[in-house]
Amino acid sequence: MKYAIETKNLAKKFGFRIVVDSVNLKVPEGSVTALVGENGAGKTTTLSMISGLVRPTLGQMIILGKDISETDVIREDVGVALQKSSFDPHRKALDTLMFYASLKGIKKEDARVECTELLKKVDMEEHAETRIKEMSHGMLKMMEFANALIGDPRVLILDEPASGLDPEYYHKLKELIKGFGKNKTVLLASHNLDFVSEVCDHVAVMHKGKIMIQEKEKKLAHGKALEKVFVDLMKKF
Amino acid sequence: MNRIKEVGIVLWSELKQASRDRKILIIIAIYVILLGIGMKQSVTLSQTFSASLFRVFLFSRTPIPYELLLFYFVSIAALPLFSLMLSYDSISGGISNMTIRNLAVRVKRSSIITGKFLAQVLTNASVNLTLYLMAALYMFWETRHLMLSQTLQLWIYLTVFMIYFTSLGLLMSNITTKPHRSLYIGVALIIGLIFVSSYESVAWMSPYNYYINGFHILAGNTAKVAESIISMLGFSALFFGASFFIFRRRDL
Ligand SMILES: Nc1ncnc2c1ncn2[C@@H]1O[C@H](COP(=O)(O)OP(=O)(O)OP(=O)(O)O)[C@@H](O)[C@H]1O
Ligand SMILES: [Mg+2]
Repeated sequence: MKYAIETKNLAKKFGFRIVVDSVNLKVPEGSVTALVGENGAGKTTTLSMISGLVRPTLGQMIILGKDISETDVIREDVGVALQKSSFDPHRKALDTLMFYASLKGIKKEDARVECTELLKKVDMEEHAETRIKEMSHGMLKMMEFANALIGDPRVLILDEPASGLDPEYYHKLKELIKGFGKNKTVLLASHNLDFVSEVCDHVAVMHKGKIMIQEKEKKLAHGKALEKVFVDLMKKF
Repeated sequence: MNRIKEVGIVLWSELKQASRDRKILIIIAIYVILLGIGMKQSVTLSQTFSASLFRVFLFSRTPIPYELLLFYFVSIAALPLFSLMLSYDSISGGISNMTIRNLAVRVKRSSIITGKFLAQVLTNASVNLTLYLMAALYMFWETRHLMLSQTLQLWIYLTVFMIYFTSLGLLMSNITTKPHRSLYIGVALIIGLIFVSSYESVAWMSPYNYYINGFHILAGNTAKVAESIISMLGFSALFFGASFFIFRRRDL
């Protein structure tokens, strides 16, 4: 099997605390893989290292065959939606996306077309002229998601994309991720196990900085609710 | 993407952001008002006391436009704090409000830091250029001497100091993730540098050691001026390099 994202002995220490411990994560190409685990398990830290925001203490990361272990290597063909980040509060939605499109080297007129399209895709077209500071939590989450989609990257890294969304946006997000097809790979972190079992085909369980299990969702859940499987697993460790 | 284009995009977005940042606009307004007063006082003083006061320490054969020299001293006294105020939160501000994250996942960190630095240098230099051109006009109106070339030469010299303090501010914004700390440490350093300049053995390390050399520009002593410029730019490069080194390794 080919892997879109691969980490080898990836580790991160904050001070003396080991937060991510020898993580060997393998994300199959074309899959939607979920990283689940308790609060503070190290999911965000792992995704941040893969995105280039946090510098690994040790280990190697490879995306689409390219070594990206250093923070200053551009992650090409990768879109990132972070758990915590922010846009310039004074900018409007469309301008915000167009700005990030310009950072991808997309020309202004093409960017306008693409970003308008993206806003429509995430059900925010009527908010194109709304300023970031006037947006609700859910709207900001969808903005993050739209931002990750700019330039139609082959790999998406989404940290808690579904948290705090209202049913409408939640449904929209699920439909969009399910509709990606085989030429996109998604790695996402989530606490929402219903969401995970519905949209993800692979699951990696993280516990205290380590990956405990990495399986196909079907195999792991085995027809049971993922939540029960997860709770049982946590008892075991 | 092309590196220069990347820097250009960051630079342009920083300039746009600064142009509607109330804090920055207020700082610029205060600086402009202070220097406006300084401009007027410089002319008044040089007329009242005449040139004699300055002959004591200026051994120059060329006539010195004292009003201009005075204005230069006024502006260079206000410059360090002004430059620091513009630059102290360039990185720490972006880290604490997390806007830097969406940038850093798209753009090389070297382009981010270069773009931000250039934006501050450009803003600062244009504010000062405007002030110096106003000063040249005002002094022409008062004295009927047009001192455009000397004014521009002093502005260039001032710009070198500005680069020094801006890169110092950039470094401060990198050594901590809390903007207010960057500011406190920066102010403490500026005061420290004043003290350093008064000890002969270490004075060369302080920019205040080179302030006075502005008058050598007016007197036409280029060797002294070149020495100061090289030293200032050397320190600036050091500060910028250190900032880059830290920023590349930092978790955002
Ligand atoms: N910059 C930091 N400095 C020190 N400790 C940190 C830092 N960032 C994260 N941590 C710690 O690392 C651990 C893992 O955090 P992380 O955010 O990766 O967990 P998570 O699995 O994403 O949790 P959640 O489900 O709550 O989002 C936590 O205990 C957190 O306190
Ligand atoms: Mg997290």
